[in-house]
Amino acid sequence: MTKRLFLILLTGIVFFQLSSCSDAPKNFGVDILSSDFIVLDTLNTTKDSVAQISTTFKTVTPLGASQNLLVGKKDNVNASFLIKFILPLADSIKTGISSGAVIITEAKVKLINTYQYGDSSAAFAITAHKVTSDWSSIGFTSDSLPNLMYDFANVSSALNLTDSIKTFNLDVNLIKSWFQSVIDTSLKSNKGLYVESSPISQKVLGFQAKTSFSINQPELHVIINKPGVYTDTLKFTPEADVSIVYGNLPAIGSGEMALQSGFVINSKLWFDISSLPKNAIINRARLFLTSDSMLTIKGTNLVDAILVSNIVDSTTKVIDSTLTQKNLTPNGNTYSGLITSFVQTWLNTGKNEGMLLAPVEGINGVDLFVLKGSNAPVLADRPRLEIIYTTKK
Amino acid sequence: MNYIRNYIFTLVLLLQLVTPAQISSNYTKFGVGEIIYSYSGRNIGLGGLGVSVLNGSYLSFVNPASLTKLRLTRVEFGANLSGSFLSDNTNKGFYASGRFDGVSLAFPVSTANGITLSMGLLPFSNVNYLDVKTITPNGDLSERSVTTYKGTGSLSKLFLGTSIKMPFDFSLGVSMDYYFGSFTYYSRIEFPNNISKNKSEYNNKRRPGGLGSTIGIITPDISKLFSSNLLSEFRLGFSVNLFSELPTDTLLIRTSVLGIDTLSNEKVNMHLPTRIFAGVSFIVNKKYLFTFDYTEQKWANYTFNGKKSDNLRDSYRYSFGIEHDNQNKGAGLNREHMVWRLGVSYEKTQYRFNGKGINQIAIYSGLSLPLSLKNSLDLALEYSIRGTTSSNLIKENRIRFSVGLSLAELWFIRRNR
Repeated sequence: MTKRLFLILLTGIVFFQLSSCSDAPKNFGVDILSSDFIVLDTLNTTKDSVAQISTTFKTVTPLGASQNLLVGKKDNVNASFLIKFILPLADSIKTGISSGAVIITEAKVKLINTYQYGDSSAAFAITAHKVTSDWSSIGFTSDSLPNLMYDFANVSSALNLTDSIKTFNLDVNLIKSWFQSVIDTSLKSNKGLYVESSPISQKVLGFQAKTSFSINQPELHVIINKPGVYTDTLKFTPEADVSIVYGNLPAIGSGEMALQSGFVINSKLWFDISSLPKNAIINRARLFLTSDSMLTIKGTNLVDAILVSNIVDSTTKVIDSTLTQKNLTPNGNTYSGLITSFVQTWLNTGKNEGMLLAPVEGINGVDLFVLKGSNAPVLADRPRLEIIYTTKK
Repeated sequence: MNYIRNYIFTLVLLLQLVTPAQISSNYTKFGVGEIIYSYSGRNIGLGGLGVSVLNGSYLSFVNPASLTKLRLTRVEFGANLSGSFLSDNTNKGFYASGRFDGVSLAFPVSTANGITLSMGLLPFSNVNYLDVKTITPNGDLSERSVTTYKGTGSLSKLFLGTSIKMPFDFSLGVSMDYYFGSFTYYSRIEFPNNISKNKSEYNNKRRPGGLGSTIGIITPDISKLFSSNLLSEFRLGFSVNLFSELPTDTLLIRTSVLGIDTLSNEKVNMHLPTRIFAGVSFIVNKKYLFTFDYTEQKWANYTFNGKKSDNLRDSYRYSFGIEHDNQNKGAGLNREHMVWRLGVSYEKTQYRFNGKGINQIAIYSGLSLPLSLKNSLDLALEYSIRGTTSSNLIKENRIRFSVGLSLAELWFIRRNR
């Protein structure tokens, strides 16, 4: 009897062990939970006539970190650059230069072309000037340009744009003065070169700027000759360089907004999301921008995308460093991307100062993005924010 | 001795099966969940109550007055395994889980005066549901969403009680109760086939805690009034659970692409309505104990943060039980030492949806296997049917196996010097 009971008990346990393999959870009479329902909803700023504001403005951005040295002129853009070469000289050369035994026969700047904005056949010419005031690639902007002092005399010649490596010659006397400053450090005459566009230019070119790698960066080739003894070519690399881009806002219609690298020209975009419930969770927020393909001008070798940042102060246009910036990528005439975290932040904080739109490569070129703005006559062309969100009953 | 080892082994096995899972239906979302009337294998075998039974061999805290016959210090444990067959108009499923139910201790202070002291941790209610809904709009798998609703938690009672024998052999008992618990109501929607859509999660937590008390009385044996030699221990019992407003910490948090943030965090009051028990019990031919019990609680008056629930109504429950005990208290597992029980109950539960009330009918059986003279292993099996599949509601066919240990020992022996 006792054994039988024990067996029954164990059988029961086995039964429940087996039955612990419960079925997968299902939906049973879910309406019972209606008071707890989470509801999926959408907000489409175009269909739901949500108010929006877009503005375009110019900012001054240091271009010292740019990968390209920009020079040229096209439409509203005027680009130039500063470059200073580091000139390590052997003692024998210093002595030869000082005594006049070594003469400089040629000086040539070699640049690797990495970028072009405008028609390839368009006119292009540059002038180079000896800089006479100090400058630094850190923090130098177009606003710093009026304070830059340089000789008006053009020290460049023989601009060669036909080969992949673009070159122009420099006045050997300029090089000699720089060498003298190496020999006599009190002279401090090597303050670099200012390369600017000639007024005839109709395009902007970009050249590989100073990099941490030795390849492809600008080089100064100086040919020296000690008559009857040797002829040698000295190669020098940049100590510092910086591009300066200046100009006016591009000519765009009142219903449009513009973004342009280099200046930098950015736009601000704001949507009124006050109709979203404060307790909502944003599952997806996707921003769509329509490009004006007639006015948009793309250069070469730059990523075609728009960078979106959350603004924390719409007056100063300070962006939110706590949120990752988002990219809008092109598909036909439309740029789109996810800004879910921005919209969630606006909801959570109750503070919506809008978004800053800028070219992804804001300092490497002068690409112009013209986009349909908040006042575009056709509603469907205006910036559109599609939000999928969840609320809890 | 081997038997004891076997039973302990069995109990350990059972406790290992205590795993969280969907044990009950979505009904338990409302109020404080499903009410647990008893954790004891003995009481469950009798239909769950036994308000008027005086018995020194078991502990029952439905009525704290029931301990006045206690002669030995006694401790009881309970655990159960439950399997629920859930169905509605379209779905069916089986879900099993287990739970450690409670522990209680009581010891006599004065056996002559029926004075006892008791304490324990007992379950009061339980919330446990899991509902998963998958939607594929227009058959587009990339837009498929999976919505999960999950509720877990329980309300427990920590108590300290006493009983005393009153004049005319009335028994009176009272306990001070501290109710505490935690409920979590979780909602989530996710999009498994679309990485551009982030999931949403809401977590609503409630942590009630507050005082209450239980007062009970059991009449003297009035079997003599019936002039029958067959009848004995004819008693009436009555007890009442009183609850203070339970201060409840509430927290609503959401999980979004930015992480977790708090939407609300406040302290509100939970009002539990008073619960009353009444019952009658008697023994026939010194072997058969009959119990008839009734309980009611006006859940329509339940409020949380001052708000009533449309899905709660006043509940009541009738139960009837028979226990066969041939009073052979020898140890061992011989059939004549065992105590057998049968019970049935009908309950109008506190739940109401779309104007339709949820009722439950249950049958019970149980037995106590003596482990020694005063110790027993108490087993009970309950089969219940609750709800209906009409009006898109849920029908639950549930089988529950309860196991308990009732262990007694003589404590506080005064030695002669």
